[in-house]
Amino acid sequence: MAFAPDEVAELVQLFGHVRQAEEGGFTYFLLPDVSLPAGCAPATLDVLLCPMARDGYSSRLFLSQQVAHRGPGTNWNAVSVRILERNWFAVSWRVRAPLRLAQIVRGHLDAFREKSHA
Amino acid sequence: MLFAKSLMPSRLPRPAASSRLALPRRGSVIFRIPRRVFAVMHADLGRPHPFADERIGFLAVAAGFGEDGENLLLAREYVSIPDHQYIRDNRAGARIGNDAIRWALQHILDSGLGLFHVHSHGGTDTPTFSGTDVAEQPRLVASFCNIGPGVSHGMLLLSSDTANAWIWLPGAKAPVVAAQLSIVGYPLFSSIPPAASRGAYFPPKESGDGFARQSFLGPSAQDVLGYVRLGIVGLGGGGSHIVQQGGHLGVRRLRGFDGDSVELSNLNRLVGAGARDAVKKTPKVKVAQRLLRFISGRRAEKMHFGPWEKHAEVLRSCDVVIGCLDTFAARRDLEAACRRWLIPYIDIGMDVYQVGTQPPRLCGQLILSMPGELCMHCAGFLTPERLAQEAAHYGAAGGRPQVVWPNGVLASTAVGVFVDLVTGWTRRQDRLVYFSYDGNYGTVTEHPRVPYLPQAQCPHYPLGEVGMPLFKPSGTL
Repeated sequence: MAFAPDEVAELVQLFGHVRQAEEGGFTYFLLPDVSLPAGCAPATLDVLLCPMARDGYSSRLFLSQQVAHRGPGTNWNAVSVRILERNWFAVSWRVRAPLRLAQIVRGHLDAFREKSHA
Repeated sequence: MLFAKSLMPSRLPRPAASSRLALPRRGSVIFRIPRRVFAVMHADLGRPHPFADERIGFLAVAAGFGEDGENLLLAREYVSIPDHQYIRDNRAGARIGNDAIRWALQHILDSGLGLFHVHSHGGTDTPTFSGTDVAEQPRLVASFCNIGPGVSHGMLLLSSDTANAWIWLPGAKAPVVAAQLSIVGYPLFSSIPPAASRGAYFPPKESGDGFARQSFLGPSAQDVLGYVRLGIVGLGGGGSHIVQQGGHLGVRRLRGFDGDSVELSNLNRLVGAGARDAVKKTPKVKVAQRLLRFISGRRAEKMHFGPWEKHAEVLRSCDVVIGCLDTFAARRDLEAACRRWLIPYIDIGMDVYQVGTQPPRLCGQLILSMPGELCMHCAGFLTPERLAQEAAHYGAAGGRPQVVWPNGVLASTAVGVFVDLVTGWTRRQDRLVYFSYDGNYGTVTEHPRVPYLPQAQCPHYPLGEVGMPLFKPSGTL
C-alpha cells in the first residue's frame, strides 16, 4: 500500500531510520529505538506500526516487548504475535482515523502516557 | 521426483573427467522451490533459442536458518535472459554475454539475495551437471560470491520433475549439495538423502512388516513418511489425533508445539491423556511424546513446550504443518509464517453454533494453504470482519464447545491430505483443498465456495516475500 510521501518523510524525520515491509497484505513501518513516554520501562524499544485496519482496529502499534508503565493502555491483547519474523506485543488501543502516520504513532503512544492531574 | 518415489541416488553422480572441483558433500541445506516458479523456469528454459542449444536463467533465492541452524534456501524469483544477451560459442550448449552477467551482479547488490545460475538437461529424476558445467559455472558463481559474500549462491540444474543444486554457503570455498530439495506444490516433490545418511529416520528393517498393509502408498512411501518433518501446532483435541495417526503411519520426525497443560475439561477429547494428567497438569507435549513412544517404541520425538512463535526456527524446517488452533488470528499468523518459509499448511477447526430453537449445528473446515496458491484470505475463510469480531472479544476462545468425534474426523481428513501430499498416492495434482464438515449429517464435502474462487495468484502472500523479511528504507516501496 502506498502512503503519502510527505507523511512518510515526516515519520522518518521524527523517528530516524524508518524501514517498511509488507506481509499478508499489510504494510508495516519499523521504527527502531523509539523513546516511550516518561515512566515506561524500558524507556526505548523498537515499535512496528501497522497504519491499516487490522484486528478490528483502524491501526495498531506493536512493541518489541511488554513495557511497565502508568498509562491507561493496560490490556495487552496481542502477546508474542509473529509479524515479519519477530514476536510483538500490543495493547488494546484505538486511535481515531484518519490521521497522518506520525499522529497515529503519537496516538498509540498515549496508551503508555500517564495522565497529568494538573 | 515425488517425495514418494524420490530418493536421491545413494551415491552422488560421478564428476566429469574435466571437473576441477571435488565432489560436493551433502550440506545441511533445505532448498525449496514453489511449483509455480519451477514451472516458469521449466517453460522458459525449454524454449528454443535462435542459435544456442540450451537456455540459461537466474534464480533469486532468499535464505534463513531453521532447526539446529539448518540453512533454508527459498526460490523467490526467476529471471529469463533475453535472446540477444547470448553469445555464439560452439564449445558450450549456451553462453551468455557480459550484459547478462553484469545484470546478475547488479541484482545481487540491489536485492541482497543469493543468485543461482539455472539451466536444464531435461529427463527425469536428479540430473547430473556436465563436465562443462562443472568446469565453467563455478567461476561465475565465484563472482556472485564476491559481490554478495553474505548470502548463498550456486548453480541449479533442472530435469522435468526435480533439480540438482550446488550451493556455495556464505564464506564457503567449496560447494555442497542440498540435503533436501523440494518442489513445493501438490503433490510435494522432494528429494531426500539416501538411507545410509538418514540415520534414525530410516525405518528399521524389523518395521518393514509393520507397515506392509500401507504399502499401496508407494514403494518409497515408508521412507518418505519416515523422513518428512511434520509440524503440528496445537496438541489438543485435534492435534492429539494427528500425533496418534502420525505415530501409526511411521512419521518419524514429528515436531509438536503447545504451551498448555492438561485440564479436566480436556479429557473429553484429548487422545492419550488420562485423569492423572489433569491432576498433575501434564504438559500436552509430554502426553504427545508418551503416546508416540507407546506406539513406536522409540525414544521421544522432539516436542516444544510453548507457542510455536517461541520455536520459530523449528517450524521453518518442517516440510508440512498442520494447525489445530482455536482462533482466526492464530491461524492468520501461522499461515503467514508458513507462506514465508514455503511450507504447505493444513488448517483444521470445528465449531458449534446454536441458532434460535434449532438443534446445535456442528461444523468445521479443512483448508490446505499451498505457498504460491490461494490462501485462507483468498478462500474467504479469514475475513477482516471475522478477525475484528474475534479481536473485540480479545481473541479469547473461551469455553467453546468441543467434542471428540468431529476432532477425529477433521484430524483424520487432514492426515489423509498430508499423506497424499507427500506420497502422491492418488496421483491428483494441483489440488485445491477446502473441505466443509457437517457434523450433524456426518459429511465432509468440498466447500461450496471452491468453484467460484479466483484462479489468480494469491495477492496476500506474493512469492517475492518469502524468506527473512527484507525491510526497505521508507519511501522506496
